[in-house]
Amino acid sequence: MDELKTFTALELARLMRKGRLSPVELARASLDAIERENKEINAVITITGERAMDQARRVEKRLLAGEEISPLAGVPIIIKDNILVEGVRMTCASRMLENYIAPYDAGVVEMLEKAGLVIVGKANMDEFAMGSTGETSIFGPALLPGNKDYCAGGSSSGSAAAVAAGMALLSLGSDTGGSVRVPASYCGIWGIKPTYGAVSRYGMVTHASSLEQIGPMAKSGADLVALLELCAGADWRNATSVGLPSSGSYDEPPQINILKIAVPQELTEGCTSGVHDVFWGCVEKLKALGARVDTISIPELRYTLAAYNVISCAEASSNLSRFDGIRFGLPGVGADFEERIRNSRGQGFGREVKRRILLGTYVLSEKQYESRFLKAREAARRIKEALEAVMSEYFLILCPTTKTTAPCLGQDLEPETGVCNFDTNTAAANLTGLPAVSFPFGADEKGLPVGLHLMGSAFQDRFVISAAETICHEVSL
Amino acid sequence: MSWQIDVGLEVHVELNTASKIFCSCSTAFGAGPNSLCCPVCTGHPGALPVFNKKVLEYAVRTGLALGCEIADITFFDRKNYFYPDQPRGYQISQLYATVCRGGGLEIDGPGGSRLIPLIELHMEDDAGKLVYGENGELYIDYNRSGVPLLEIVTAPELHSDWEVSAFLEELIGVLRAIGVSDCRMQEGSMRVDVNLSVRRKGESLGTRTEMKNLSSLRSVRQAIRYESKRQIEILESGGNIENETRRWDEDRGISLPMRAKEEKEDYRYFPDPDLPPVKISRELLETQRGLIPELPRAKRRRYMRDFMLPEQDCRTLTADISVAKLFEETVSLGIPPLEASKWICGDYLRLMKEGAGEHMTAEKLARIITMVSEGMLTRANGRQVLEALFYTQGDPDKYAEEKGLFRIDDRNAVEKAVREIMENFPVQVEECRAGKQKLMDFLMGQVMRKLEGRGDPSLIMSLLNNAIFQDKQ
Repeated sequence: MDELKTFTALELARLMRKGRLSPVELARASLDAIERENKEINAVITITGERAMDQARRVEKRLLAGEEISPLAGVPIIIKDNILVEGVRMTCASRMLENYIAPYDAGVVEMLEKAGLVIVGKANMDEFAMGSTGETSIFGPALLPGNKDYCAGGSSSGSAAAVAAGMALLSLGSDTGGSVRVPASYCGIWGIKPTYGAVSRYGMVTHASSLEQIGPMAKSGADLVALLELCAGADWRNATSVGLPSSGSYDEPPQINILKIAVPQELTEGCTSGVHDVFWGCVEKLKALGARVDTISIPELRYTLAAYNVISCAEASSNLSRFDGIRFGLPGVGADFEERIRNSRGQGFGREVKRRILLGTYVLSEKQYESRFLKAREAARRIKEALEAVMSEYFLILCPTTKTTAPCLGQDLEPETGVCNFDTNTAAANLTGLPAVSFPFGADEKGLPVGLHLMGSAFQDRFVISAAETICHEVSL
Repeated sequence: MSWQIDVGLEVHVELNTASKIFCSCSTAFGAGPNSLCCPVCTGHPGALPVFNKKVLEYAVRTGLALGCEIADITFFDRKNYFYPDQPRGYQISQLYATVCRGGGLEIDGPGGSRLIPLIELHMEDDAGKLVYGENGELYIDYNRSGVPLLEIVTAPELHSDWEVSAFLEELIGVLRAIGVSDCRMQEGSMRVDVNLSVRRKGESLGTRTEMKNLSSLRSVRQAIRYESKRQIEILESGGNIENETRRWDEDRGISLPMRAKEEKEDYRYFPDPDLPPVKISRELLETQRGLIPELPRAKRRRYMRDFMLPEQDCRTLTADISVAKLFEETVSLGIPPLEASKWICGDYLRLMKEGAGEHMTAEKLARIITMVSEGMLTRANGRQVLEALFYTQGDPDKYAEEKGLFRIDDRNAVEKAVREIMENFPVQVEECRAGKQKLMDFLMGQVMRKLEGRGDPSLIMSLLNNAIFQDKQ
C-alpha cells in the first residue's frame, strides 16, 4: 500500500470519508511501514498497534454511518514520547522513565482521538527533549530517512523521521528552542512551533514551561494547518493556554506580491554554502516575483542563544525535580531518602540532562539569580520588543531554519561547544512566543533537504503557514 | 543585666476551601491514605497546576481583616528543594509579589493594647505527610499535598510568651470569624514557627533561631520560655547564637537543632512559569470586604461597653462566632447580659467542649434561665434541663414537667420532709442545737434530697430553722 507515500493526510481522509479507503487498512499499512522501516530509522520507541486498530475500527464504523468526525479522521499519527497517552508507556527516551505507564491522556491526545486520528506509535526523541540531533536518546538516534549516515535532528527526531519515512502522515513533536523545526528542516518536512498558548501543554512532560509548545509536523502546509486546527484550543488544565483565535482574512494564502518580508542578517551569517545558496536564491526569486524582501539588522538577536540557554536550563532544573524515583521512575537504592533520590537521578538521567540541570541550578542560585536569570529574562523581553517592532512593518521574518543541513552522527557529543548551536535561528520564536514554521525548500549539494524558517505575529499561525505555502508553490529555483 | 526577647512568627494556616489550591481534589481531613490525590498533587509528569480562585478570595478576605495592603497583581514562585513529601521537588509559594503586605493585629494586655505589625501574607501549597510504620519504614500520604496554606508573617515585635499567646488567640479568633480556617493546631490546620532572638536592652536585634513542631499554644509558650532562657545563658557565658532551625521536643520540653548550619539550603526561588500572574479586581476586593463580620476584638470591646461584662467573659463569649450569636440572641430575648453570660460561659461552654450538641437555641436557653430566676427550677435542675436539651431536641417546660423537676412550692410537703429528716437524724439535730453550725448544712442537704432536689432552698432553710430552734424552746 503506497498511499502513505503518495497522498497527503487530507487527501487520504477524503478518500476514507468517501468510503474508498478503509481506516483499518490504512492503520495496518502504517503499522506495517513502521515494522519495515523502524529497524533502520529508529523513529519509534513504542508501537501502539492494538490501540490503533481499535481506534481505526471505531472510526471506520462511524464513517460508514456517515458521521462527520473531522477533516483528518482515520489518519495515522505518531506522538512524541514526552506526551502522555493513557495506559501506554512514556519514556521521554530516558532511563528514568523506561517503565513509566502514563496514567492519563494529554490534552492534545484527547482532542486528536476525538477527531478520529489513529495513534500508531510513540516517537523517539532526545532524552527529555534535550538535544538537537536525537543522539541523547537512550534508544539511540533516529536516522535521516534515505541517508543513514546522518541524524534526523532533534529533539523531535522520531516525529520528523517517521513522517519523512512514510510510517505515518502526521506527527506531533514539541518545541522548546527549535525541537520541531530543526528536525523538520533536516528531514525535509513541515513543522510549526505554534504561538505560545495556542496548544495545551497539559500532559506534555515539561522541559521549559515558558518557552515550549507541542508542534504539529506533516508533509504539506495544508496538512500542517489542518492538524494545528485540531490541536489548538484553550484547556482549563493548562493555565497558560489561550487557544488560537481566528485571524480573519490573514488566514487565506496571500499573493506573493503583497508579502513584506524581513531578513535579519544576524540569522543568515555562518551558513554552509549549500544552505546559503538555496536561501539567497529564494530571496532573489521572491523579489523577482514582486515581494518586498529587505535585509535588516536586529542586533538584539545576538543574545538569543545566551538568554535561551539560561532560561531553558533554569526552568528545566526545576521541572525535572519531580523525577526522584519515589512515586514513579527509576527507583534509587539507598539507606535514606537523600541517597535514594541521589541514586535515582544519578542513574536515571543521561549526561546532557544532568549538564542542563546543573547549569539551571547554578543560574537560579541566590548569588546568580539577578546577574544571570533576571538578565536573561530582560534580554528575552528586549528581543520580543525588537521583533514586534519589525513585525509592525513586515508581515514575516524569513531565514534558513538551520545553518547547515542534517549533521553526521556523532557531532553533538562535545558539550563544551555549547548547548545548542543548532537552535541559533529557531530559539527567538520560543523566547518571544511568536509562531514559526519550517518548510522544505530545495536541497544542498549533497542532496540533503534545506528548510526555510518563517516567523509571524502572535496568533497568526495560519497565515504564517499559508504564506510558506505560497513561497513553496510559487518560488522554484 | 536585663534582656529583651524578640519574637517573629510564621503562622501557616490551612484554608478550608473544598478543593486543593492547584487541582480539584478534596481537602477533607482524615480520609484513607492517598485516596484524595491526582496526577497534579502527586507531581506526575505533564500535570500542571491550575489556581483555585477560592483561595485568592480567602487570602484577600484575611488580608482585609488584618488591615493589609492588597496587591493589584500577585504571582507564584517556586521554592526548590528535595523531600519525599514534596512531590514536585518544589513548593509553589510566593516571594516576589505576595498577595498581601503590611497590616497588623491589635492585642490587649495588662499594659493596654498594642498593634503587632505584619510583614506579609502569602499563599502556598501544603506538602504530603510522612508516616513511619512499626518497623521504621516510611510511608507517604499525599492527601495533604496541595491543601491551600496561607502563611502569615509577623514583624519580630512580640516580646514575651504571653504576648505571642495573646496574638495567636486573637488571630485564631479573626480567622474563625471570617470563616477561612478552623485553626486546629492539634490537627495541624494551624502551624506556628517561632523565630526568636534575645538582646540586651538598647542593643540591636540579636541572632535568631527558628523553632518548628509546635502543636499547641501551650507548647508555643513553653518553647519561648525555654529557648529564650537557653539563648540568654549562652550569651551570658560569652557564647554565640547559631542561626539555625530547631525542633521543639514536646515530651522532653526542650528544643533541639534540626539542620546543621552548613546545610543551609538555597531554595532558588523564581516565578512559576506554569501559573500566569493573577489580577485582583476592585470587585473581588469589595465582595470580600462585605463578607467580614464584626471581628472578635471589636465585639469584645462592644460587649464590655454595652453589656458591662468583665473582660474575661467578653473574651470567652467572642472567641467563637456561634457562641457570640447565642449570647446576643439570648440577651435580645430579655435575659440580663450578666445572667446570660454566666450560663453560656459556664455550663454551655463546658457542654460544648464535651461533645457536639447542636440543639440548644437562644429561645430554649432564655426559657431555662427565666425558669431558674423565677424560682420554678433550682439552679441545679436548670442545669439538668440545659444538658438534656443540649444533646436532644425538646421543649424546656415539657422536659421539666415530664421529669418532675419543677420546684415544690407546697409548704406542707416541705414541712413533712423536714419533720421526717428530724426524726431520722435525732443525734445530728441535737448537736446542731448545741451550736454545731456545720450540721445545719447536712440536714439541709438531707431535706433537699428527700425532695429530689426540687425544694426551694430558702423555704427549707427557714422551716428547718424553725423546727430545730423553736422546738427547743
